[in-house]
Amino acid sequence: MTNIISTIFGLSRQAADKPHKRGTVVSPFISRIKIYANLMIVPLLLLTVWQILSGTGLLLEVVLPSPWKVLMGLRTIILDGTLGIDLRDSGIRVLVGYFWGVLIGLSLGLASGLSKFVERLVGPVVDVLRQIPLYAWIPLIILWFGIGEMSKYVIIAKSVFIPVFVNTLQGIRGVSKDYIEVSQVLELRYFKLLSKVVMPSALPSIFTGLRLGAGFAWMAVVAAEMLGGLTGIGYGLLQAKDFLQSDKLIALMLVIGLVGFLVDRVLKLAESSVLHWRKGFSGEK
Amino acid sequence: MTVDNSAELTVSRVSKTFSSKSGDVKAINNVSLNIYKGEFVSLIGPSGCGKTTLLRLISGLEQDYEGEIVLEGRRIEKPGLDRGMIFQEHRLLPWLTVGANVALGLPGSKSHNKERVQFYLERVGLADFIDAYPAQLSGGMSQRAAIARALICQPKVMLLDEPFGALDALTRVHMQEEIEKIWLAEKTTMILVTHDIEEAIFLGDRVVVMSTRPAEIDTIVPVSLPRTRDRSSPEFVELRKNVVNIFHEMIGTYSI
Repeated sequence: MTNIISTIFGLSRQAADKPHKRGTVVSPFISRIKIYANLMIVPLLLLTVWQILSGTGLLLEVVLPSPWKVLMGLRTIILDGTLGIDLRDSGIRVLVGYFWGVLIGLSLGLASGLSKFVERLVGPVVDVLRQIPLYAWIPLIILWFGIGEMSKYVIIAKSVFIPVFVNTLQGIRGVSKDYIEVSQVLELRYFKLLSKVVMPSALPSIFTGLRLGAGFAWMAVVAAEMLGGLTGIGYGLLQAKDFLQSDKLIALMLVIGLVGFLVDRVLKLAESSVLHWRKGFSGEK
Repeated sequence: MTVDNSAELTVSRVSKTFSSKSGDVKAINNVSLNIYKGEFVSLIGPSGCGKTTLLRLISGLEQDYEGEIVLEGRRIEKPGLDRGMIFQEHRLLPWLTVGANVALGLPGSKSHNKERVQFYLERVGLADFIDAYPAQLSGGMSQRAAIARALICQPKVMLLDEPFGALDALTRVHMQEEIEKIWLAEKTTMILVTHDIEEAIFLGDRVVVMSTRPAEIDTIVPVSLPRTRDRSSPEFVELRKNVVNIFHEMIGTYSI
């Protein structure tokens, strides 16, 4: 196995290096293809392993269906409309929960960041509460809000609140003292200090919170839907399990992963367009 | 020391002690100095001696000192626009354009300040960079933008804390000439902290040599050479030798 990996990496590295050594110019088209080729290595590898494992016949199909079978399962749930309904219902829950989680997390985070007094009030409480895992909250949330929509919103909002709050607070606390001194020397008024110095400096960290929160929201909705209700991705997973439809089950899991990935990429794009001034380390070739 | 009413900035019997868990550290001991309007004073001393602390006290960024620092009749307690500060690092805000950085200390709208920003950017030779971001500038250019940011508020005193320390030798010499030009044009009082003897003599009307910590004033060397000074002239070289000797003697006495 390790041999296969190193051979694949070794080959691709050679291919990338050779033209440079000969001094030929690499066209942007070719180099883009190379980047896509790099991106495909691990997924193709996993797919190959999966195909080999399911093709040996050692595993029952219900335990591990072949990639092809999963693709057909995906086709079925797309065509019969269940995937669309599940995605729509989960999506709405995520949006509502995310909205409240961000609203509360951002406002409390900003307030704690800007006022030591508020931080003393809120900080330790949040620090204790966030040590309690989501699954420990669920029984109480159900007791209070039932298994309807409200409890799902609360579960999602709670998981979004924590990363947004923590990263907002950290972002403001992390504003460099150097810049604060500049604003003191220039006698900046409070509002200008916030808008020109503190907020732009905290923004990268706040964005990290928003991105983490979006990921957590997507995970939380699946967990929340497995508790009850009759729609949503989480419900779809349970149903697929109950009917031993492992092809649909895995197809749904892949959809969850892909949607989460897309949401993260969209937020990342928004982040880099807002933080265009930032030139981070983008990694070695 | 006698009180001199003609001085713009009076530092009298100033001491500063920093307290920490491991004990108190006295950074400055009983320093008195008069600085006159339009004067260029260089503060020089061994690294870590407390000369930067003195500058930060004058800027108001450091507080709680013994003695008096008085600027035009008012005791300095906190930072203010009447004192411009140039730090060793440029400290431009990376998310603002050069123009917006320079305009930071000005009240009023962007369009309202545009002419002034343009004027001061021209003064420091960055007229074409008003819309650039700090990340696009070289070290010397960034420091010039920082100088424009301080100048535009028209401070009474400019405080320069080893402003060229992080620049390469060639850029540094060029920046020394630039700052002299700005000083001649703006007639602002300037106080420069440096550990570069040549820089101190090239720019200063007086070179204040400070001792090792706690910093005291060891010697004040007046520099009466005509400007712009020629670093290789016999007089310059002689002065330089004198200051080096002062250092040798001082460090000699302290090491016994």
